[in-house]
Amino acid sequence: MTFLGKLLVVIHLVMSVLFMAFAGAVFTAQVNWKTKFETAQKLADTAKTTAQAEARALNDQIEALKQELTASQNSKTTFEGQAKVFEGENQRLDTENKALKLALDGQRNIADLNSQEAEERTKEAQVQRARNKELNKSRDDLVVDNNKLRDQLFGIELQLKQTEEKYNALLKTNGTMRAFLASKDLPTDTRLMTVTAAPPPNVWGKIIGARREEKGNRLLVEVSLGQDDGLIAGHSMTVYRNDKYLGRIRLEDVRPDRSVGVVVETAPNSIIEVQDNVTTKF
Amino acid sequence: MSPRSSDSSPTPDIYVGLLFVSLAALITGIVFLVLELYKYGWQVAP
Repeated sequence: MTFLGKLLVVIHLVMSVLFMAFAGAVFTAQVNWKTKFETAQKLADTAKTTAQAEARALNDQIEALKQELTASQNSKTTFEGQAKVFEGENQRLDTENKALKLALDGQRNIADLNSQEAEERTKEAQVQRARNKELNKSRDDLVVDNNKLRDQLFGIELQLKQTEEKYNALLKTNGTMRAFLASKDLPTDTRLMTVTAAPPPNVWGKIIGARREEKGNRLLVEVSLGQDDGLIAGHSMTVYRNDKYLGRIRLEDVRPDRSVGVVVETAPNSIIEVQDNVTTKF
Repeated sequence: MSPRSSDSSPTPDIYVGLLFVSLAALITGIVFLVLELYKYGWQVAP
């Protein structure tokens, strides 16, 4: 065998061994892609079926959600209408609430005023009660005083009755005495009695007027003396001029500052005139 | 190669043995590939 034949045999051997090694490696280390493809295909089919089912379920859910959305929109519209109604009612209630607050404030002020008035009335009632107590006490005192005064009144009435009886008896006595004095031509006028019993004071004055009486023909004179000088009706006065006796007059009308008298006695050949002097001393 | 006489039979040497070994390796590799192709159902293209 030639050298080339030997070389080719060796190369043939090496290549055959390499072929066997690569074939063994492929056989031992290869992956069965067909089985994997089938498994993956089954998994894909299963996933597809599942996805389709889920898609149908999702579509159903979408439809249900659409229906719910429609119902929700309807509810929204209804609720918006109700919200508008409620808003209007809320505004009305706010207005009413404000009015009620104002009314409440007013009522509260009135209540405060009433409370203050009640307190004042309570204080006034206490004062009135104390005053009533004092008045009751005063009334009791007055009742006691009234009873005393009634007793006194009873005593006074009794004394009055006795006095009336005495007065009546004295009237009878007085009438009897007046009748007796008249029968003896004695004055029964008490003023004349007083004049007779009490002489006039010593005073001096002037005649400021003189004239004749129209019907009685008596001479009336006006004297510048009166009650202020201690004179009373019935007093007699002497008329004189320059220490010459002219006559006597008796006072009949006495006033505070002047008097009117009548001439009861005239001296012979004498005429009583104005500016003549009068006195009670003689 | 030298001409061989008709009465003398050739003597197998080491190279013949190597050829047998090479033949055995080729057969083994072919078996491996056959088994591999058997797994795919003898389908070479999809």
